[in-house]
Amino acid sequence: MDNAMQVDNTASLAATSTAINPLKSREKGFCEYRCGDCGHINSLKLQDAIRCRQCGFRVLYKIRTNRMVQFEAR
Amino acid sequence: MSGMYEVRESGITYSPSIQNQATANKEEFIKKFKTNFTYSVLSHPNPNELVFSLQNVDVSFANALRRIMISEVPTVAIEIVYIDNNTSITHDEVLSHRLGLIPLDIDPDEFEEYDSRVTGDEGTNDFNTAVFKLDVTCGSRPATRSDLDSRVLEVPPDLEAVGKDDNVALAKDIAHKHQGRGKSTLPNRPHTRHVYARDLVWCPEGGQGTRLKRKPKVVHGDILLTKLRANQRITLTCHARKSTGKDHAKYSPVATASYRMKPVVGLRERVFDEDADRLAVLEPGVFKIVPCTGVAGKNREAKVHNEYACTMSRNFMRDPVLKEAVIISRDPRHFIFSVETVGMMTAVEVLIKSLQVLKGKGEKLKEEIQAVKLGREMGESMDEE
Repeated sequence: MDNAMQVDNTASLAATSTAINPLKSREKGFCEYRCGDCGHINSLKLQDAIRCRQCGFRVLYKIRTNRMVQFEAR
Repeated sequence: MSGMYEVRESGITYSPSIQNQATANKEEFIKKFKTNFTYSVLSHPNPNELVFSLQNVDVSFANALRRIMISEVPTVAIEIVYIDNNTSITHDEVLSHRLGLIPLDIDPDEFEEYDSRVTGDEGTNDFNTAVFKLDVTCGSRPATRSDLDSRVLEVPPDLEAVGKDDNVALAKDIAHKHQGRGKSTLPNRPHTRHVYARDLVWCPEGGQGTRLKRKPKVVHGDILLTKLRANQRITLTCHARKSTGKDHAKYSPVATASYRMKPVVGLRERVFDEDADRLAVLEPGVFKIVPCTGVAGKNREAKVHNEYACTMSRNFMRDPVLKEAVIISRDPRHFIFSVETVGMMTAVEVLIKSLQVLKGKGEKLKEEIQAVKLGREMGESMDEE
């Protein structure tokens, strides 16, 4: 499926530049992941165990882009 | 043009009738059509279902009507989905596709078709687009898990190291619960949010709030789109546009629109007693057993009761006696139409609109023929000069 389009209008660009990039935390070396079970957002370092701090679940997801994505409902 | 299709043990045979030949001139044709044509409603159990019959029309007319009902009656459906956030397990593409298939209760007459020649967002206005928004979140799970299941297979020795400060107590709690029992509470896990079609909210754009007499909404609110776990969220905006079934099946207003030729059931010879009983079983609903009079030694006989019930299964042909006695055929000028809509409009509306489309096609053809004729005359006159 390649019908997804990144919408590159000026409004969304402005929004991304001012918003905090969700993929990288402000602290250096940390990266944020969402727990696959409880949804808690975990900041992990390179050496950390891949495990949710809140519930102990071992599946963590990379956080989605905060840009709007356009699809055809087909 | 008339005749009959006789259904035999293998295959069908067509026997044309001498009468009812094709008419030579159009006035005579129209006159004949108007006097012979019959329309009758056979069953209309609810607004979405309609079974009707058309008599003395060509197959071409019936088939044109069927095809138009399926693919050329316009409706409104979600066409573009702008996803701001989707942390559910359903992929954006799949979710968009599911959204597109939801039948919308929107009067298509109140909208214009989106002009595909205008690209981008500039062509979008409140006359060709209805906007729906979906914003659903599943609430967060409480800090202490009460439904720890067998999924956590081992508690690592460094668990206390994972949780810092306040989290130490929590980590201990998890470990304690796990050691207690590996009980799974999967079937009724808390914090699962079901996202239904009714969660779509219509947002009036421009003058739509006052212009639209029927407020746009989904026809069936209980269509499950996806399920959310704790803290998962979907935020999106949908643009619904008007189009027809030949563009995409989601625009088709009907679930089924089909016709069959009327079955004609006849008896070559009378069927009595046990033979009649067998016939009634083999062709359920078609025959009625009535008391027999006038024939010595016979108590009852089979009479044709309801031809519409005949499924053309030819089951009776396996019986050597019945095979000779019963004849089944189809009338090629009598159609039984069955229309069932999805709910965006009623079955009667679909029928009326399909007839309007067919009429429009006829008028367009007429215009084009006129234009060709005119062009030819012009050419001839120019040749003369």
